[in-house]
Amino acid sequence: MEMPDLSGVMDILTRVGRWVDIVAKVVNPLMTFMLPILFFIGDLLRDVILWADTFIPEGSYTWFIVVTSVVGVTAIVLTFLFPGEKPEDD
Amino acid sequence: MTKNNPWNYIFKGIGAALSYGITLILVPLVIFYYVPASVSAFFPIEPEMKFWIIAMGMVVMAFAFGRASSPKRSIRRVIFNVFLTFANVFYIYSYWLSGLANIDISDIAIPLSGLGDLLIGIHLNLGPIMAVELGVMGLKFLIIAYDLVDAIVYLSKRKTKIKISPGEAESDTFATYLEDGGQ
Repeated sequence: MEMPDLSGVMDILTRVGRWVDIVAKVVNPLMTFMLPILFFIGDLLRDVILWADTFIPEGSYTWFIVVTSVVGVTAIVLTFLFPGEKPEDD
Repeated sequence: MTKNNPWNYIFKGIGAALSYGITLILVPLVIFYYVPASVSAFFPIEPEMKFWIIAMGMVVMAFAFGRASSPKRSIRRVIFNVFLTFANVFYIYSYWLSGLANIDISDIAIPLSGLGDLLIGIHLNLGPIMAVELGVMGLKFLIIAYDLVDAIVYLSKRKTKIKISPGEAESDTFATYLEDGGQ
């Protein structure tokens, strides 16, 4: 029994493998640098959130409803006062 | 230049707020409601978590409305975006605060014929993954800083384009700002 000619498939697989290798070589050091940075930023944000959390009363929706209403009303008022202008090229 | 219709912006804002409301409040609550009891035994859904989802979801919706209803390349949009991103981060962190990041599945007994029970336990701490997720969201503040610079440059360029008669030259700053739609 003759073996089928797999040289074409092997050629494609070799090319794909070469590209995967190149991408991995670029991504790996990038991730090595990025992960600690992301952890650092995440940790920093967590500290900010924990600080902000001390001002928020728990268990009551009142505070959140007041904030939501104030932000919403401010946005509506600003939209009607300053709706912006269409650019000249419109 | 003609004034924009404010109602267009209002409808845009309502659309954005509704989309955030569906993805941040409705979908999680529906999922939590339909989580089967067999799963919730290992995956406790505290009432506190539902409170944070609704409360922070409302705030995120309000800021999303503000951002979407602001004109493009305006400082107002950038300010709303800062608060929206921070509220989003808080929302993500509320899952962490509620203890959802610590999944403890222990003592699952699988009976083996003639050998007794096989006990399986898994403890999954998703805290570090959430820290990375917060970090990715934190990077958004860099994009917002770029948007702020872009808005300021755009505003200053538009101001120089507006023709001012010689008599009005000295008192134009705030007046043109108001005429310019606060952009």
